[in-house]
Amino acid sequence: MSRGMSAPALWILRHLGHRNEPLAGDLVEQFRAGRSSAWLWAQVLCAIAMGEFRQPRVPVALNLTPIDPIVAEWLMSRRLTPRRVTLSSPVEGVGGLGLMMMGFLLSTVVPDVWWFVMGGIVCGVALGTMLAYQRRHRPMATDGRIHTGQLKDLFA
Amino acid sequence: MARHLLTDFELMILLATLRVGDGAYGVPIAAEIGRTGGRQVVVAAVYAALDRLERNGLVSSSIGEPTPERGGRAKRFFQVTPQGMRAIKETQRALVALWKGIPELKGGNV
Repeated sequence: MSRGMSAPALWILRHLGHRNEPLAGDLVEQFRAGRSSAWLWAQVLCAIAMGEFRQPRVPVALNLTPIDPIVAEWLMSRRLTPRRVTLSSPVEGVGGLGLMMMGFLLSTVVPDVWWFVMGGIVCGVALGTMLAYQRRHRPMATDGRIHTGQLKDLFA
Repeated sequence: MARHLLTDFELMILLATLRVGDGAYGVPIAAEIGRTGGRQVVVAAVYAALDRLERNGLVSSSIGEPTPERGGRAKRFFQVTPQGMRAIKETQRALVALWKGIPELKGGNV
């Protein structure tokens, strides 16, 4: 694997590395010291699989509009305050866009299982509604919005 | 205080941290385990174990200065605490006690 293949891995480290800076720094340092792209990819994928770059606890807001965690962070990095951010996915680390992409791919590759995708969406919405109902009395902000500063605290 | 017996990986991490000494962080610890212990480990696994050991009070950590070659990220240095040293010795004693009296393991021909 050529060193050019490492660009996506470095991109992942740049964008998720703040969740475990010492680990991301170690990997970047070793890669710059001459480690191969294969080594870097193995380390990054293992780190992701082990949850070392996982987002810290993120609350479920009342709004059920799915916004992917990466999109939320992009908005933060552009200093755009999302009106509401909902990370209601039942699977940690997989946001709304991730689930939508999964559903799209599954229904494209195996169209016969559309009912499976639909069932998953219905179950996801039901679970999100239940979680939102449970947390209704613990709003994130007095005006019902989640602000950039609060998100930064959550991701810190 | 309850005895804390270490898993084999935790024991290797603690011993490697002691061997590296000052300036022990993820990469040198993983390298020491590979070089001396003959076990290749991913750096993320080392950090996961070190986090667990720190929560149990067996290691402590401190953050160094960010450096350009690390993309502006700081190192996290680890030290074994006195409680960690006790855990190492207790684990060693338990392993040695289990080792003794097994005829199949005598003579080094296994």
